Amino acid sequence: MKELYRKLFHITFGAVIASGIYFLGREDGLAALFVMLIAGLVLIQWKLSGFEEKVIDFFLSKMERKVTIPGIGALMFLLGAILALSFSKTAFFAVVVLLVFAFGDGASTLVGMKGSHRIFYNKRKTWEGSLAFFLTASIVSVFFLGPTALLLCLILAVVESLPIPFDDNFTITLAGAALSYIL
Amino acid sequence: MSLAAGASSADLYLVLACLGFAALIFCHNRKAIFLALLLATVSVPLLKNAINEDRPCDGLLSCPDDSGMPSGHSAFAFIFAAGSLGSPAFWFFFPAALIVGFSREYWGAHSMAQVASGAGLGVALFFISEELLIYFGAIKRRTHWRVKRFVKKRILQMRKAKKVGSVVPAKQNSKQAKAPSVKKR
Repeated sequence: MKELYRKLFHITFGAVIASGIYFLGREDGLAALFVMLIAGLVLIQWKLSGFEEKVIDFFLSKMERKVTIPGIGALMFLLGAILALSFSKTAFFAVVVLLVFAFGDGASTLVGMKGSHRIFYNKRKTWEGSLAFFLTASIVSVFFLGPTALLLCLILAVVESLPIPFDDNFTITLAGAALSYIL
Repeated sequence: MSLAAGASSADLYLVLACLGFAALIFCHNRKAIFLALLLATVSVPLLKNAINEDRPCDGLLSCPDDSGMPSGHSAFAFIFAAGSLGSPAFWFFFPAALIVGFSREYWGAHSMAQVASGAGLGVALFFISEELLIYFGAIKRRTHWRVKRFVKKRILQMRKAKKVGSVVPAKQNSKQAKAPSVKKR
């Protein structure tokens, strides 16, 4: 149940940030994300110092995995958004990458948990999860990029399934930013 | 060359040296910080060349020659801020990083977007290097200093309870202590 709430928040947060960037543009979007990063770092520090706030604690108790840094998931998503917007060729492509990541990653986790066919190069992931990533992300992004979106989603689904030790917030957004120069 | 443009190359090393010295003393995850600094030293110039975005150059008589995206100063400064997250040293490194970032924008050496990009890159590089070090077994997963202190306190409490419990149970001990005073009355 926690993972369901977590991924629903992941998708909503991603959609809100992507639409914000779409309307604000690259410069103002990055400035807004910078303010959110500052607020996020201060909140995490306060939380680690024993600060208690009912709303934040409610969200953390409902969604956060067992980690040593509370709210690290949201911070990682924010960092991913900053990297995607900074290093993509256009702000529009960054918005699409963020939507692909938000919807694709959310769907892949929710479906992948129920899946049984393990990927041979990464035993922690399933074929069902990767397929859910590709299908969900394609449905969302094909309205923005057309047929190119299918190739983008296929490559990002493969990147998501790789056994890379970094957080997928970084790998997928950076791969998406790199693809903006190729596609 | 203007004061600010000249300072842009020299003050980076000065600020880095000061922050690095402070990090050596105060931060508990030095290995991750230094690996992140190393990664930033390599990646920032590469990204500047690849993106090739101009600096705003308003407020300076002459601008640094290289491209502006991302800001190297704020990337380095925010590595220290992220590295000190969870320790009291954060309240030193975080304002320092903000001052470094906003001063670059104030001087006109970078736009706010370039500073934001540098800050994001710095924090991301710190977490990437921490994950890398954990993956290769160089460090254990980070435990927050307050959690460590709490765990130590609990272990000490348990040890004390065991020592007392080995001679006389704690409840019995307190009853025996109270009993003589009742008899005397």
